[in-house]
Amino acid sequence: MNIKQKSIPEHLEESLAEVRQIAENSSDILINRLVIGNISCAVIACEGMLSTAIMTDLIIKPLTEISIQLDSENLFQHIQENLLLSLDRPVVRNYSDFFKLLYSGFVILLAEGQNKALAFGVQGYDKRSIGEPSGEKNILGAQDGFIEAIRTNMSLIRRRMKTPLLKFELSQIGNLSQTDICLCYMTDRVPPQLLRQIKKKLATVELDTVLSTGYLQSFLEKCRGSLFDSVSLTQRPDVLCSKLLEGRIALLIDGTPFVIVIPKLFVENFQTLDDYNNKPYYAGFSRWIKYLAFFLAVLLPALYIAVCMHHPELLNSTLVLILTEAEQEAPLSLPTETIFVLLMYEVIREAGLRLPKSVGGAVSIVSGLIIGDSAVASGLISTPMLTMVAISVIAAFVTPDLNAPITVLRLLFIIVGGLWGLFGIGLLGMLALYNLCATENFGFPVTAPLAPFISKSMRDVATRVNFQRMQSGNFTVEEYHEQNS
Amino acid sequence: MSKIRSSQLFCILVLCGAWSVICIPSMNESGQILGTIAGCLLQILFCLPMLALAKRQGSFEKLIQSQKWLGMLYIIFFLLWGAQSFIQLWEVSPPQLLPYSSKIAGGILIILTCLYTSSVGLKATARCAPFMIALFIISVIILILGAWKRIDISRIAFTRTGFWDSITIYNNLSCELMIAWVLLDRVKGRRNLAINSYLLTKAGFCILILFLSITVGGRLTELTGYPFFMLTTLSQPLQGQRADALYILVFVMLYIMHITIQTGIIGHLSEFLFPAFSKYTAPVSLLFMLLLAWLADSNIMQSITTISLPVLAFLVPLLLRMKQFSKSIHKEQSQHEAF
Repeated sequence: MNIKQKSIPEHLEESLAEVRQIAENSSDILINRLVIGNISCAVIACEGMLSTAIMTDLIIKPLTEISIQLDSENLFQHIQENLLLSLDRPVVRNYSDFFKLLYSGFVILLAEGQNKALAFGVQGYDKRSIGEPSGEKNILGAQDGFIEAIRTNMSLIRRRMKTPLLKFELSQIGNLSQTDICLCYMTDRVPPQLLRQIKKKLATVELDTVLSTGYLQSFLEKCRGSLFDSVSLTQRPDVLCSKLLEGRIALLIDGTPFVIVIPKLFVENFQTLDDYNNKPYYAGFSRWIKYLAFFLAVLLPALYIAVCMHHPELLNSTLVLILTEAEQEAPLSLPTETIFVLLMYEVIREAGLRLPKSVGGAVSIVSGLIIGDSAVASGLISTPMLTMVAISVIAAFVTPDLNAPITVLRLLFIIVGGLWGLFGIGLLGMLALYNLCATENFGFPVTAPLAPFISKSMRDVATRVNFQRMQSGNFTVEEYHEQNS
Repeated sequence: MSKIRSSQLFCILVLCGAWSVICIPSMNESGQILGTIAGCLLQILFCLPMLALAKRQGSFEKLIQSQKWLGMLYIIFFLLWGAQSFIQLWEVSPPQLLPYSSKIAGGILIILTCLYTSSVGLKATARCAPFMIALFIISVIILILGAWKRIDISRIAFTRTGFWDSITIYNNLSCELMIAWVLLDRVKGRRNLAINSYLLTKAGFCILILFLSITVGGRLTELTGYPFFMLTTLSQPLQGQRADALYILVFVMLYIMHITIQTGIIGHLSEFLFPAFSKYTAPVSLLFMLLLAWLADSNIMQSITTISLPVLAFLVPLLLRMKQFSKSIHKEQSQHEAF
């Protein structure tokens, strides 16, 4: 049934029958009849989407207190002009808007003799309280994070950016879900071309529902074969504000605490909010530790295998003796052993992620102590190899946003390192580097500001200068845009 | 294709130049240092016509669109150069360090890698170049650190021998000028600076390798050939363990970049000449290079590239510039007469 063009009839009974029919007598639709003046009216609401106390105090009570005798036209005029029942009170003329507002937590007033309805925004559904985001912890920064309610998230951003230059653009997406999404940007800093392109992309979305960021992410990423993300996600309003100030665009989606930020740069994987709270020398140091950790996470097991199997001359004699002794006890070949351990780690990690916290502890004990210890003691796997894998896995925790590419690349490097040694690592290294360099989004290469090299930006990549120097930059992400000829 | 920055062109040229220098077969005479400097100056002269053309919008693309046969000549040149690079890889690469059992197996692995790297376009190559430059600089620093203790200045005997030879060798290894000429229209920024810096950097690297091979290797260089690889064997930064295997990484990555650039440029040229088939260019040209390298004689190929380089990179731009010049004089004269 197409309810888009269907307008609200004048007779109340007919309207209510239509509402019941369109909603298929859904149990969460609440219809309360009342008489205001001497006009039959009905207040319609969706259970659980609004605050009952607010509805009673701010809508029902003032309505029932209207004692003036008016016709229905004048009643609506009186309510709109003389009673401030809520701040958000649109007039509804068709059933499409009627149900959109009803299911968004509005109370709707229908009256006999009126072919329109009045809606009052009294949304008050239950939501999670604001807390520290679990995936983006920091020490010295703010401890609040986004939640699932889009309007709360908008307020979290607005509280930090009290400027009219910050603009929110709300719209709906998803043919059935009608999910609220909100584009958020600084009007003076956003590249207009980027904004236009994103809006164009979003207009092409014809999904029935949008339940999380992943649904829209693929529409906003151009490079399909890329291992690396070209849009970033954040749960922190303070991080988002810093990105908006650089001219980026945020996309908030109702129902998820993650906000999509476009465009993303690869170096951002190594930047945290704490970098800007610590002393510059320490921030620079910790940043280089993160770069090193990334290389260790991807390459360490592969280099170990390549060196042990193909280039033992790279090791000194003591190391060669230790490794030979350890490896000759192991029943499996070095690459097989490493791949087996890494796959087991991935299985354990997946198990730990999906299980309740109480059981998660038991998983760590079983995996770490029982499996790990007994596997080494029984000689199934060698200690040096296990050490390398453990270092690599721990190093990957330093850059959690890169977990997916690290996991895949680590395995591939192990295979080519085992087959062709450093030659294979060189080949795959080039493939990975080209893959990274080919990744771009709306003309913004993820490798910027390293490639293309922008020396000015090194102050927040190779090191982190203090804010006195940083404030003089007036940097926006548009500087990284690569124009096509 | 999109525009690339002059700094990216510089990186691309330096990386290709570095590969050429790594593959220099023999350099062990002090006179060759002067020869290399002279070769570098000669190349600066070689570049003048193309730079003058680029400054006056004498587009290379316009040229090959109007003279398609010339475009074909350039494609053939890059195919031959690619095949020559495969031969160089087989001749130069230290066999004990490369794991493949046959030439073709190694070639196929490289082709498979290049199929992907050339499919993502020259823009990705241009972005990749600064990372490669960083890796290359690190490896050169390790090489110098390893060689430092073994340098013996007394091994330098000042002679004039090798002067003319080194000019020839140096110019034989300068096919990168063709890359500069083809890409010049697509470069934004200071093109002259990029090309001149590249020529000086390459000459500097060549002189460094020559200096180190004489002062570290001494007479040994004459016996072994390929001074760069001899240096990686002799200059060990750590005591008790060898580090030369590490250069395989740099060597392989430079080579992939080298072949990708050649394939990318063939693809770029074929967009003008055979637009319908341009997406098949990379696999076809890579297979052709490998086949040619396997079947053809190395010396013949070297001779062809040596002869065609000054023609295609110097004479063609020079003739075009002269044509442009005569046209402008003719225009001025006709304007003068009309006045």
